Amino acid sequence: MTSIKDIFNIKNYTPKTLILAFSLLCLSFAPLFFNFIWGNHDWMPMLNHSHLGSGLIEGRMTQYIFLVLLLGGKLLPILNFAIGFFAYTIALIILSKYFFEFPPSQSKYTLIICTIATLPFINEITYFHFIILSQLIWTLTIAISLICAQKATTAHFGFYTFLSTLFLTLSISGYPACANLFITSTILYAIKLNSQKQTYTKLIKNLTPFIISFLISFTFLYIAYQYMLKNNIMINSYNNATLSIIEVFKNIPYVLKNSIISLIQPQPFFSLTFKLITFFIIIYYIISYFASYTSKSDYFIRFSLILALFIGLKFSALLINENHTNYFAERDPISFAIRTDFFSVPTFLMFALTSLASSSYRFNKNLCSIVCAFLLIININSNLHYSKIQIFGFKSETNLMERMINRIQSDENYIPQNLYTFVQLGEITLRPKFYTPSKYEKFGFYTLKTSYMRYWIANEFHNFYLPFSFILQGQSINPDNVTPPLANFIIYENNLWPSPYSTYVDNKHIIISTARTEKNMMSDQFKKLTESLPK
Amino acid sequence: MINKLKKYNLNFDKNDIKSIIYSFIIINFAFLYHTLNLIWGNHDVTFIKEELLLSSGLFEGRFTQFIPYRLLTNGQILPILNNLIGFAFLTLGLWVLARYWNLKKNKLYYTLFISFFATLPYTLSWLYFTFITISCMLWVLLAILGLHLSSFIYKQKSKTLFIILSTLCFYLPLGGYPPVINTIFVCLSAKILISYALEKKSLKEIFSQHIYTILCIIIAIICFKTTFLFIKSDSVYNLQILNLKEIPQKLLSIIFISFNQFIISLPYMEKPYKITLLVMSLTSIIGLFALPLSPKNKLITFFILFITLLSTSTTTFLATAPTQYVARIDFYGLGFLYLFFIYLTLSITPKIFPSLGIIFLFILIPFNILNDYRALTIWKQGFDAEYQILDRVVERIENHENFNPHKQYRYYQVGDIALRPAYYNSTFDFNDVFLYSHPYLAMWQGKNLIEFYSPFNYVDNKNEIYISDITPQLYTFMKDKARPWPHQNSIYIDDKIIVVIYRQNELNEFINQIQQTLSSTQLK
Repeated sequence: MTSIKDIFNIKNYTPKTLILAFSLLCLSFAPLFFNFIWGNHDWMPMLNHSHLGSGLIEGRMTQYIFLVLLLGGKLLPILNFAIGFFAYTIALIILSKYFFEFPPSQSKYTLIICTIATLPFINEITYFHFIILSQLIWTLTIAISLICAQKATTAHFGFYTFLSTLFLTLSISGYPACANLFITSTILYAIKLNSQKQTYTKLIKNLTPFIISFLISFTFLYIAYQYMLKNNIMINSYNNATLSIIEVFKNIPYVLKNSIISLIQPQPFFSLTFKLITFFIIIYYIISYFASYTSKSDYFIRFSLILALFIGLKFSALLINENHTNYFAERDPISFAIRTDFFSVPTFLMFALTSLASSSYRFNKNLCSIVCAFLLIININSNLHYSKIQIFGFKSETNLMERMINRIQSDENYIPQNLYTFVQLGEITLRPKFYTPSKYEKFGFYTLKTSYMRYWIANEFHNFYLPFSFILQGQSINPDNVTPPLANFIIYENNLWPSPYSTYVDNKHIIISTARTEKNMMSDQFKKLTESLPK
Repeated sequence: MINKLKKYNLNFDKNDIKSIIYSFIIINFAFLYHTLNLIWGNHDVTFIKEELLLSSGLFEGRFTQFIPYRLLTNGQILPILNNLIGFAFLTLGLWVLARYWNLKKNKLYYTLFISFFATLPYTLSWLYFTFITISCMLWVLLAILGLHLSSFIYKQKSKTLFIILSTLCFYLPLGGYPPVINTIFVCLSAKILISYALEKKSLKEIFSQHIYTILCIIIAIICFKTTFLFIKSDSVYNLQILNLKEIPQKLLSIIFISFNQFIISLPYMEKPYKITLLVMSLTSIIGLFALPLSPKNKLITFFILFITLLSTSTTTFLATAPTQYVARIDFYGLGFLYLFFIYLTLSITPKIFPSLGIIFLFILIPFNILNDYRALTIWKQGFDAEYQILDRVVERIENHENFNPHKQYRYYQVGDIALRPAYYNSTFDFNDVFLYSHPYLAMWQGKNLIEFYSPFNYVDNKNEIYISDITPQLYTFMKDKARPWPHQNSIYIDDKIIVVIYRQNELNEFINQIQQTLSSTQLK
């Protein structure tokens, strides 16, 4: 059993493994290190510092703790990635070496850590700069939480369980879906103990600190959410809309099905080859796990643990109410969200690969090395491909933004000193233009499809590069300010960008139409409004 | 495995690994600005956006060109990795060459030997087009590996496997970029010279050792030519080779070119730099003839040296298209001759020559890097400037009253703008288009360029402008109103056609073409 002192002793981190895995991870995203680009929620955080309370509105109480502590709340190029990647690499080493205690040879171990660290699940985490640091650090805090829970079974039960709870609470309060890592790792730990032929009583005893830590943390989170909702500190949004306990149970078959399907469903930057290789490793591991069962009851336990593992991989999808908003459900169902998979699938793969590498069969060891080598190449290619598409997408959308601003500034009605209500009807997303999808691909909202210029925050990006702000925050048109030319434009003249009739400027409003659905929606609303007016 | 590598003089020891790592770092430093800034050439526009297919090079007879890309990056041109993989191959290739030529085992010698060649500004020519960087550097590794392996065939009991492997090592590069033949011949004749003058081997020994190399090269060339029977390639300039009748005249011209190439300056390789290289070359030749050789041996040495010199122009000799003083061809030829001279200075016995060689390397490598950075700065400035113009052209098109992004237009770009020369203020004797004057916004790529960053797909890529598309309005506009960019009449848009005019010369040509076509079809 690992002592806590061991974990804080840097010499134990196999520096070569740490440096190599960290370097490969940095190489995978190097284009994003040197081309400072950011996601659609980052425009304001780029300008202003984030403070500790910035995440409260969506219930992410601790999201900015590390950003504030380490970078003063600023989103900084290179450092933001580098610190996060370093924390993630350490987390992987803690999990494999100290938590799962796998002893493969040094070279195989290094190869496995490098492969897991660079898995493309991390690419969605890099889309929003404001959460890169915290999301990646949560893997480290959860790894520490797991180690503490493991330690609690041998010494100072209360103290270590408390520490475990503390670290888990800290993490899930910043991003609840990172509980996937805790749950997945706990079940994998149970599988490992079961493989070592521990009695069921001992198994339950060993898992007790994990269960206590989990229950207390989620109870705290639930109470905190209720309090904040009641006091209007946070808003009810898709990411805190949870199901009731009964609905959670009803949701199990759906999540289980998706959990298995998502392992083979190609998604942008996750080719069919990648999915098949990872799925093969998972299945191969499960078969070898079942191959050594001793009794029917053991078979049942193993079956239950594997079932629990597949549900645990999608724990966040189990809790969330996908019908709360159609917006995300229509695009990427939570059970196919890459950033929640990031907290579960890599750990499972690491466990499966290290199990094979530690196996006494030469074939398994060689298989592990071959798979890792293939995956490593695919990973680096996928991540660099993702980075390239990000760069092209960002460049083409910001170019478009400049052309829109030029058009507005050239309008005869435009007065630079005015503050306008700016309405952007729809948005144009350009990353897909640079991406050739492979067969059978689905989803990929954040990895590929979302725009850098979300229509509801037009003030953030259109004001960004100008010497003065010309757009008011918010976007609604006050009915009192609607003039006949404005209504006429919206109902009859409005056309899509780049038509001359795609932009409208008066002394209070700027309207720009970029997508048909939103343009028509606005026209219909105005039609109804004018019809309802007294004639 | 280690024993086998040792048997073929390809084993790594600590010093080898260190020298490979050090030189890899030096090479990457020399081109770091390019690695970190994704800049692509005018042939890359579609490839960088989409992907490279195995068949992408067939039309110009380069049937193996994209195998490395498909295998290593799934056909993607990836930022950073593209250069890293290319440089890794180049580094390994030069390390194998050091072994092939039996360079004295010394960490400093190996590091400088590899770094000198790889940082030569000739390498820049493989960075301009990102779609061939990896393969064209891999060809160096394969060609030299082929030479090295084939030099062991005479010792083998069973020769077939080695003959097949070596032939493959020659065939693959020839199928990807035929001018690699320069490297093969320069390195081979240099090896023969080394064996004869430095290692004091007899001509008979040399013949028995290298006959298999020549055999493998001949088989590879036959396979290469035979492959064309099975692939459909267009009649493009780089597939046209000389007639037998032209040989005597061509031979004279390549003798002249082979000597002249030492003094002809190119962009980023101006006179002072070329003179430094020439002084280094002459020093090594003096050293070579200062060796204690009999007059007969000196004569034979001179003859082999002359053949080595002529080998640098093999492509120029064989190809119909003029390839003399072209950096990408010199990369495979003259560059290796310079490297051979470096090898000579480091290997010739009086101690003064190795010392001079080290001094030359400490002057030349920083000189190379300086020239590389000058080039890359100008490339980046030119690239940004040209793409800014493209942004403005796109804006002008989008704002045009006749433009509808949902229509399909036939697009024609009249002329192009090359802005790299605007940032370069030195003189040179011979222009190298890839290093200096190729436009990023090439006229023939206009269709793909105009939509590159645009949200819309409005260009009909499949169809050129037909004569039936030329309306009286277009004709009148081009004849009377059209002016080059940024004039307001530099863009013409009607229901079917978009024309963007960049240069007056091409505008005049375009008008002439219309006039000729109209008169021939009696549509006037």
